[in-house]
Amino acid sequence: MNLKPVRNKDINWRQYKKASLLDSGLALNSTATFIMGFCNGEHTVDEIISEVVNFYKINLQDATRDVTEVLQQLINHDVIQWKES
Amino acid sequence: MKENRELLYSNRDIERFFGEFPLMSASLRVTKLCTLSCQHCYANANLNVKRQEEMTFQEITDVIDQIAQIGAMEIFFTGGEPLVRQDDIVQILQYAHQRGLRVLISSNGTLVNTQFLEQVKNIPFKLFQISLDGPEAVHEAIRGPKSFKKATDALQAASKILGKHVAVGSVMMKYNAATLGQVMAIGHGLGADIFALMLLIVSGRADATLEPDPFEQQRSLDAIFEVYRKLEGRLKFAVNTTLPPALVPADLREQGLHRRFALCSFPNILGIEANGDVAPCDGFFNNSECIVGNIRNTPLHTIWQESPLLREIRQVEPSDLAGVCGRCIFREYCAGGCRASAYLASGKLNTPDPICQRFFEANLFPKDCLR
Repeated sequence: MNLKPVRNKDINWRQYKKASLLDSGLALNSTATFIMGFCNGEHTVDEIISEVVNFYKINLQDATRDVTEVLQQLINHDVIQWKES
Repeated sequence: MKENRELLYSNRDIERFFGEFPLMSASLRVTKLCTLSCQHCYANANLNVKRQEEMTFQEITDVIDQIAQIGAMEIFFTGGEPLVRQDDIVQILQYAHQRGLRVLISSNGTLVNTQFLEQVKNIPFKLFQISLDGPEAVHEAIRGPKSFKKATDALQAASKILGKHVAVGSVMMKYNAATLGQVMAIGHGLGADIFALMLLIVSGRADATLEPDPFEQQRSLDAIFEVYRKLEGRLKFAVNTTLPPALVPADLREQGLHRRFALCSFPNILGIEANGDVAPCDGFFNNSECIVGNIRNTPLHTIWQESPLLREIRQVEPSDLAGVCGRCIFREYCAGGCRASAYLASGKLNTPDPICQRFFEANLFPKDCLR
């Protein structure tokens, strides 16, 4: 997976201590916020999964599932798009 | 991780989820000076206001920095008439944009010209609002001679140069309630793509005699939504529209229209007065007991975190709301409509939004919205 997720330019996103908020009113929990932080067009999905494994100390399978689901939701809400690496 | 789209409606839930109580937006009165002297102005603005207490450019950029640092997403510039600050309003707007804040502004249009618009057209305004309170005769009865042409010229020029998010903004009053459908059509004809409907805040120069009765309000809303339907989405409602969701027609509620506005994020907002005073929102400034600090002597984050009144306000949950708000199916979503209007009417923080309570008492409140 060499695609790199990147936040849409017109999305306004604010991080708070434990979670974050989009100006659409969508609130992201701490895990989704962590993943969103890597959606800057510089990290592949595999790299993000690796970051989740290391940070949350979970296995690769669970991390892959979580990252994939979060990214899919962010795409569904027009928050991120894919950038070719 | 399953998608969990629960509504975070209680202040306790919001604080627990975010790990802090988030500031989402702030309004900033950059001046109290105004080129007009409207009878319904809750800011008490006019041309005779003394300017010596007004924040300097440096103070305003400092407060913009603080608003951004706390985590707000947007800033609403208001006044007075913001463009009275001809020397620095462009730089102020540009500064807020550069700090990553979404910019909204409300103007009476008297000082909006092509030169100004060209200087700010790079800013992706979330809202560029020009006030229009009726067709020419009605507008000028409220706002004074020659004000209509200036407002409509401003709307046309803004639509042409900015392209989108240009709003025609109206306050519903006794003397214009019957004409607001016409205002929408005028605004749309001039190129506006947004209609900002605001209900009267009885404060400042606005007194209760300006308030339409519930039947006048209902007829006005009927006309407004009729025009909305005819325009088939070409004129959208502004995010700062202050109409409670229960008063949106049932068929449009079913389409989710109420979710596009009436979502005042109080108490996750702050109002900042031209002299640096801070209040829970723009509607509280005329009540001295509601001034929670001044940014000239206290950092904004300290006020935000430590003000006893703000802490007290955050203790009031939707489930604490009295009157019709307590029975409304939108209680958690709407959280009591305009909390400033409720406080101004009662001196309490948990009383219902006056417009909904009046509708309920006049038997006009939609039965399907009661639990």
